[in-house]
Amino acid sequence: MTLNRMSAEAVTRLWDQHSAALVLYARQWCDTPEDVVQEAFLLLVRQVAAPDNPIGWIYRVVRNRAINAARSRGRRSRRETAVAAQGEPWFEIGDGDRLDAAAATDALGHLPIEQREAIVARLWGGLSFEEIARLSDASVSTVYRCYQRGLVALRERLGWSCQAKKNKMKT
Amino acid sequence: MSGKEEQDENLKAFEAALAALQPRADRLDGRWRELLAKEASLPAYEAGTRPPCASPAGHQFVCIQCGIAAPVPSVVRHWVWPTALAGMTTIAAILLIMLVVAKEPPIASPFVAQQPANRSVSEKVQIADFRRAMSDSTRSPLASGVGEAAYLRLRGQILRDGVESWKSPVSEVVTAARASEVPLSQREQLQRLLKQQDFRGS
Repeated sequence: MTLNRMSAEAVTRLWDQHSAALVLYARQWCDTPEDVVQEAFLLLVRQVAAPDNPIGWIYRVVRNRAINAARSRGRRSRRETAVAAQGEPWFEIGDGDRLDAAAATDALGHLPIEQREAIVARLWGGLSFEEIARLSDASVSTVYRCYQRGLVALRERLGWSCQAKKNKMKT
Repeated sequence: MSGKEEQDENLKAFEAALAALQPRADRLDGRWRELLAKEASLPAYEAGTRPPCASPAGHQFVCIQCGIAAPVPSVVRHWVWPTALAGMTTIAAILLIMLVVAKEPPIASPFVAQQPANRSVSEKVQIADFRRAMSDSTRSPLASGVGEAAYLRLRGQILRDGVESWKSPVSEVVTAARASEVPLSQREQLQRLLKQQDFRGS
């Protein structure tokens, strides 16, 4: 652990790059992900010594706090199985997106928590499988397997195979 | 392109399309960015900073003091309960097998007193008569008064020489009966017994 605190530039850069992904990550467990992420960044800033891996550190803190928040409300089981029931899309709606944001939100919400966590952390958090394994206290092979199975399940649910073939035929 | 390669390509394309979606951040408070920058620029202990916890006691799940996650339990701790469960299950299985396989205890046969094979019929009658006479107090020599002197002599003999000096009347009766091979009546048996005791007493 370094002996210096994080500089203001490093913190704001971390905020700009990872805050949205951290909110999406915290949304797996609790319904107030913004509060969890903001508190986690505040804790990071207040550390006397900056962690060696700030991204991994803050993902860990966000995960633990989100789970704590869900447990304190006594709604953890509902959160793990029906997150998509909130009705709010998790992604911004863009014109050039090849996938529908609302459909993707619904499909992600129906995945098991292990698969959803691996996909969110990998695709939007940019974490490696080793980092995800450390985060969720699982083996790297387990995380990779969950990731692959989650992708396949999402693809089937969103009908990507049929859509891709149609696009290919058109071209 | 084989089917599997096509599937892999398809999955990669889907993965890229999924990653292209941007997570929503419109509900994040934009003022937090400035707040964080301000906090980071302040010296330590002036912005409400607390030092990291000295002991891991405060790290329950996430430490409320510094936000550091609790230390991950060692790998050994993950195996304690499964090992204990496996051990207890094994012991229970062994006991169950021992219970099923165990032999039934032998049934005790009722005790049957075995009569000596070489006893004659006359001996058995004499013994039975003697037992009957000894158990019946009305016909005992003591009650009749005839044997009182003999009893006193017998008592004195035993007190002087010990119990070993008194021979069992049964064996004597049996021996005498065996020698004469004439069945003796009960009265004759008692008289013979008293005579023998009188002889020893004198």
